[in-house]
Amino acid sequence: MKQRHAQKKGFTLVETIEYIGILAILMIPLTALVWTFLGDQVQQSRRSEVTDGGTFALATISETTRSAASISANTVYDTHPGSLEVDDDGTTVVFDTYERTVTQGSQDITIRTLRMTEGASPAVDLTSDDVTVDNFTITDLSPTGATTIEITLQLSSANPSNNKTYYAQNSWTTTITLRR
Amino acid sequence: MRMKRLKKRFGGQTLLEVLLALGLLAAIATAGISLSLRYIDALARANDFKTVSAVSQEGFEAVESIARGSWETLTQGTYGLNKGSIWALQAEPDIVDGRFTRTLEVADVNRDSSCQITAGDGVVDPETKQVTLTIEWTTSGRDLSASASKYFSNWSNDPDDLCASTEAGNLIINVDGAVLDNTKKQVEGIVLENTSSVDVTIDELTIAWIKCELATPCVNPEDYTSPGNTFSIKINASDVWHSSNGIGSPTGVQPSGTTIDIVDVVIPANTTYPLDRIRFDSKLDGSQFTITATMGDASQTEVTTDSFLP
Repeated sequence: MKQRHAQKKGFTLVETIEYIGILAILMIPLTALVWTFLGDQVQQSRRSEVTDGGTFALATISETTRSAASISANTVYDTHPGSLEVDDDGTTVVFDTYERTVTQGSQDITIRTLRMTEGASPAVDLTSDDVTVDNFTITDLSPTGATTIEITLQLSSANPSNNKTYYAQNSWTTTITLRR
Repeated sequence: MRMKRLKKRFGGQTLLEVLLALGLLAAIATAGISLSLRYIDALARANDFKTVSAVSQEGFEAVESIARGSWETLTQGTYGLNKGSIWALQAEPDIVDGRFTRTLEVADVNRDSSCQITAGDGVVDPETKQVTLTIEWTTSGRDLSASASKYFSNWSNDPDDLCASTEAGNLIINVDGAVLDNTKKQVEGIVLENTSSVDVTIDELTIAWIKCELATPCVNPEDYTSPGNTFSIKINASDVWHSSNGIGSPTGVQPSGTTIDIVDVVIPANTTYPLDRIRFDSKLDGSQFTITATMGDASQTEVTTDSFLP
């Protein structure tokens, strides 16, 4: 009986502890890796939101301004929040920012949104509820004989809890020369 | 004896097994770390390419500003960009965000006789430049670069100058100051103006004239005559056709309406040449002249004078 028991013996305590130890050694970095990966995914998603929002807004401003006949004297230069007003074949198009309150989770937060107003039409937001405009500044770089402006835009993710995982920020500086 | 047997059967891992396990662990860990590093590297490169795209776009818009503001500064060479109160070219490449080196190469552009951009042949079109923008940067220790190229045109000039469809479209035969000299056998004071930024070549001239002699006033074509013959043509102080000394063809004096193959006259861009004289072998006072120029590209332009009163 004793002999049979000895033959079918399971893991010893030392072996079990060894296996648990090895498992722990493997699991700790693996868990950390998965955790980092998940965090990265969230951050990447926030980064994309900011980057895509900024790219879209700048593309819209650039395209409209390039083909515009002139830039209005109402344009507010060299300060944030700036305002850009262009004359697009008799229609005035204004790019500016405004503050508004949005609800994220259960929290109400105030963000600044970039918008476009074309003539008498209602304004259209160019940035989403998930991002806020940190900087929108227009600089006049026009040489004699041409109209050139520079736009500095900085967006960051709306992040009321100041959680590092949800933080993303990007800034762009672009030049636009009118073609007419 | 029994203990020894049991120990042999249920002994722990051998050194070989432990080494194998550690080796496997190391291989998996290495692969995992390598994969993570590659992922991070790919993310960094993707972000850098986005920045490079933005830096290039800004560069081309800056060149557009320079081209429209002061086209003459856009001369062939290698430059960087300098942003002061306006965009300007600088001798050295500029560095954006401390790590993206931006270089501009401005090159002349040639066009063929059909006005198409051509490599090497044709003539330099001073109203068009090719700008190649190169961005160089380092990502994860690797040197990378990207280039893009674009043509720029001088839109501030008359569009006709940018690329005239024919040479004749660039030549004005100005007869405002044309007169018959005292002998009444020679037309003087005609001016040939090349209004374009490219050279034009006059290949042939057709001189025709009519004189109202057979009716008062002349109404029908048969009321007119074309007396005499063309004797010689002189442009910009050189004989380009002469009936008797072998310059141009055909030889011998030529009646009205003959196409004369003159020695090719190349009028440089934006230059005016005098058509010093067209000499005839008869008095042609009272005649009205029509001059047709056939250009190097076979295009033609024509002008008719008033009748030279006797």
